[in-house]
Amino acid sequence: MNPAQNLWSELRKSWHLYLFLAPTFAFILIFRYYPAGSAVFHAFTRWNGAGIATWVGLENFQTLLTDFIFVASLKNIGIILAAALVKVLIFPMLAAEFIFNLRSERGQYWYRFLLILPIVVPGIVVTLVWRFIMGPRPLGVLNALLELLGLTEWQHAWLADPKIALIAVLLVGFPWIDAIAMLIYYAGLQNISGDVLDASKIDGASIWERVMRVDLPLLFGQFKLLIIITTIFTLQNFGGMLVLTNGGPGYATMVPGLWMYQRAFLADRFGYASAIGVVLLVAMLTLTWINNKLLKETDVTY
Amino acid sequence: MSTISTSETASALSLRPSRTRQPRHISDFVVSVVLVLLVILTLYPFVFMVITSTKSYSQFLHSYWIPAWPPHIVENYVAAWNQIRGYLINTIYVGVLTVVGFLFTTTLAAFVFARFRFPGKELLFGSLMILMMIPQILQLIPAFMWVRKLQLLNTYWVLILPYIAGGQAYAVFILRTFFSSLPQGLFDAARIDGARDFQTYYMVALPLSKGILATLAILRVQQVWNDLIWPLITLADDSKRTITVGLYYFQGETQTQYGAMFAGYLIASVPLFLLFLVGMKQFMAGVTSGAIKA
Repeated sequence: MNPAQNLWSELRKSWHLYLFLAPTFAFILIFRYYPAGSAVFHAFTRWNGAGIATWVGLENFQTLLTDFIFVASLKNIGIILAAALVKVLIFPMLAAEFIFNLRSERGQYWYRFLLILPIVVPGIVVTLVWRFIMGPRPLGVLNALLELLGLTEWQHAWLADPKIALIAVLLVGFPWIDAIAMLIYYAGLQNISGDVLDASKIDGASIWERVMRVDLPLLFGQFKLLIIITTIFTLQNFGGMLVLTNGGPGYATMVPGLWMYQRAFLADRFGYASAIGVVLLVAMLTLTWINNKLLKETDVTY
Repeated sequence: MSTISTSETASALSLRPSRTRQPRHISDFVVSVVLVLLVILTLYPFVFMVITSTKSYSQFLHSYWIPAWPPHIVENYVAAWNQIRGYLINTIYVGVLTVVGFLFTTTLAAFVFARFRFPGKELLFGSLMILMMIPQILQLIPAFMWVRKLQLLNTYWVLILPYIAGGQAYAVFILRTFFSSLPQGLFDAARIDGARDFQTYYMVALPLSKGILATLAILRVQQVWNDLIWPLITLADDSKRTITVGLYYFQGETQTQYGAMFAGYLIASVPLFLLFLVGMKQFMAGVTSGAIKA
């Protein structure tokens, strides 16, 4: 049998397998590949959404460089991303360590349960409640608390003051114990073999030494995973900012995703908005690549 | 190897007593104090929400921090329920259809990729996996144009179909790893009994993967529940809106009815709470194992 016939008979033998794959590929072709390709194409066009898109080459990208709101949004997202990484690397990890170091099994279970509980609250509710907390006097919770403590000079219109709005946004979610991240750390700690922990104990290591020398290096995989997840999530999620400040006051809390959304749906500049999407794509691919490069080949096993 | 880790976790648990009985340097008391503080700070915003949801406007003004008497529970919750009931029903409807479609398509594809060899397998799998590198935000605008052209705007399908399509790559990846780890003997036995390929899928593979399917379903429902931007731009018709968009507008309509507003937030959290109550154990094991080990 020649190769072509061979392939043909193989295809005929497995036609039903392609049938099983068909739904998945139909969905991703129509709702993933086509729009993604369309985005890249339209980034090089002027497109008001109604008529035909006109090819303009790199014009949109050149305009981006001189768009001071876009440049400001890049600076903001840089600060927000740095803060998000610090938060996710420290606070859920501390919570997981504390829980892991409890002797009581039941205590471990209940603290875990209580700290995970917020994931049942819809994201929009969390954001709206925090917007209320950061709200103006006299009803905003933070301002009311400062009033109660007699610290009236610390009171601010947190989300409405251009000098403070970005800091207020960073404070949202305090004490930043992300439930999923904490679960991931906790599972990582549980997977550290008991022998290693026993050995560190026999060597007379204090809890502090064990955390620094054993736990943290062995959580390397978890840190790496969370860095990548957090980077991708932070760069593309602007729903929270839309609700909290809508990028304001002015553009003090503008982020690229939100600017893309506003350019498209408020200004009908769909080609220009697509170009912002492409910049975000390139940024995410680059950051993921750097993460993988920097954090490679250091898998620790004892 | 997403399956293994539940057993690994179990063995880690059984090892625990032998190493925890020895004296430690930090007492449970100190650790507990820190943890209680963290729990209070983490949950306080929601406690505030619950307390405020029982107050009238004047009660809220006059006893801001503490519960007030008499509570206005019925009044606030009825007002909130009447406003968001429709949004909740829409979201549940969209969520159920999404999960059914999502699990059906991803399990079928993952099953084929895990247990069979056929021409083009690597190419097809690769072209699916590469989607994990393409962020959804890139396609937001063209996807909107596209569903407008398909005349899906203001229908439930404008949510359901893209929601099924999103997350395919991740789910197929996790499920393929799981299906690959099932012992071949089970499939051979079924085949000897005369089962065809599709029958081994729903008689062998699916029943063994209830745990991981529950985890994926919960994650998907949570994403549907939390999505704001897509329904915001595709559903102008208020009667079709999902809970997240509904709440986004809801707070604007009830100027000073803070009690009802927070009651609405609370009602919106109940369905996910029930879902997690049922699946919490499964979820705690599944998320961590699936995310780390697959």
